Amino acid sequence: MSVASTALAGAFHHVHFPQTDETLIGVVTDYLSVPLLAGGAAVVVATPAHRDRVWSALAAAGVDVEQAVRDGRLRLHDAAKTLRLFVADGRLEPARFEAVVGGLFRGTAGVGRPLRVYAELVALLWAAGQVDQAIELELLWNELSNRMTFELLCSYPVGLFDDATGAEAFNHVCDQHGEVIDGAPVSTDVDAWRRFPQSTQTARLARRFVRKTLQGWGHDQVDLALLVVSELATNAVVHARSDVSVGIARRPGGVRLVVGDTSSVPPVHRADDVRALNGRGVRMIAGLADGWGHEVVDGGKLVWVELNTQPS
Amino acid sequence: MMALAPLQELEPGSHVCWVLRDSSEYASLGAAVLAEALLTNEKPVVFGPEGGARDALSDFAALSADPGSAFLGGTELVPSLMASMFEEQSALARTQGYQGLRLVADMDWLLPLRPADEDILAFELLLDRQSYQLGATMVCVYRTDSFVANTLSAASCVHPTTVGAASPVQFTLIAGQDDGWRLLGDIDIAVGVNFRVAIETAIAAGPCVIDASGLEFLDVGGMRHLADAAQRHGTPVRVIGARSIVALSWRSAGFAELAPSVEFADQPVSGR
Repeated sequence: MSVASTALAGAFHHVHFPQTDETLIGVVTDYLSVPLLAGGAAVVVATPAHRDRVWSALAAAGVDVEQAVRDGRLRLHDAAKTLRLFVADGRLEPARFEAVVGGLFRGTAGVGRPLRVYAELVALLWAAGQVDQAIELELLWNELSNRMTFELLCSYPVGLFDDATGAEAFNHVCDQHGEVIDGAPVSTDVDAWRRFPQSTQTARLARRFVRKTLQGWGHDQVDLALLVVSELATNAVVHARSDVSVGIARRPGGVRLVVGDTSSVPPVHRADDVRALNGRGVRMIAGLADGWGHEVVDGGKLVWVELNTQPS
Repeated sequence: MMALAPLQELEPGSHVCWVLRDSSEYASLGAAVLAEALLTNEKPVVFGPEGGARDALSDFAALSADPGSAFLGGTELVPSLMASMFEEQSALARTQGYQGLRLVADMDWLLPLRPADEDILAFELLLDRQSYQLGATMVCVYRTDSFVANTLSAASCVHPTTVGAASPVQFTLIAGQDDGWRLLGDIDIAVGVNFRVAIETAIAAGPCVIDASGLEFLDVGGMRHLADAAQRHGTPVRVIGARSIVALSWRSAGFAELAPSVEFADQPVSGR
């Protein structure tokens, strides 16, 4: 069993990690067209290029964008200019954020209209190297949601997490959101789990998570688990081109590792071609694990591996 | 300002990658490294492009040159020519009463040759063997203004010591005892490209022993690069001191059949 979403920071706050602009525009259009077509409201705070593309995509999706603007139900703002209204000397000013953004939302939503927002503010801060401020802004969004009713979609281009700092912070970003749109599925049948970005750092971070968890549970035979999780995480990043979820469940005499990605293509076991350099990871897992398999689920697949780790 | 300590009291035969973020520190820290040659009886040498930075250290050096123009004809990076030059200079230094060479190299001298990252990595790995065999102390200075992050990663993974890097070096392949090599750290997708070039360079140099007692992790991708290099060169490779999971996973993935010239043995070797 799996869930494609996580109920952590509240169901109003969603995040998406687009690989391409096309993917991003598609997700944003789907997200905003829902309230707009139903008479609700939407706010877009994005770069000029993305604002133009969202405008065109909403129109193509059947939204009368010009009428929505005249009605005050659709507003589009420049992300950089908006950021400057509540960031001074590299520091966020919470009171100004609430005044500026809260005022914008109150004016757009009117009385009783459902409101959805797409904002690129956190991504701008992150791309400028202001990672701490980006996380702080995510917290401000969550605090604003205690005083106003709206749904928010943030996006972070997946390339922002391909260095050690970004990759380390990925799970913290996910924790600030109630749902990762189009993220890797997560097994519910685990005792510990984390998300990792599509990044060259993912395998290392996944190994660190598994090592720390297993050693915390008193397992001293961790080498095989590290090898398995590294291989599965690498396959997800390279072949599925996906972010990754890693879950660990206690089992008698060992553990069950469950790695999720967004592809439904099953892992390939190339057992017989002795000349092939590629495709040997699954063969290795099959030879060393007590059992392994996969399950296609909503949003991708989960690959599970049972290992004997001899807890002390 | 970078602390001097990592560059002080370098043992003869040290090979250091110095990632220099503030060019204003080059002259003072470089001079301090060369000045210690008086204590170690090494011949102080400074390499770098012509100009202010090299001139600032020339007073501290018995030999000052731009190796690109002086030894390589200014065309391309040829490791064998550099190796021959170091052997000659090392022998000359000994006839002059020194015990060896102490070199500070401003690696901006590479820039006109426009080498690819893999060329720099291969060159530095073979230079590391020279440093080890000749007992030559070499400090290779890579300026962040001149070299991008990928190049710095490629250079640092084949130096025993790196100072000034923004993040820890994930793996190193360096010269070891008896013309062998030492492999340390973690090999995974993050460093796969550099490991492929490094292991290819080592295996292409001939039959070898790789001391893997410091290897913490080797993923299937890394095994593939090892198998590929050994298979294509037909070179006997003996891997010693690796963790038992490495040999076990190598066999389980079927690489033992694919690359039978690679042998795993238990005996570790102490070294650098």
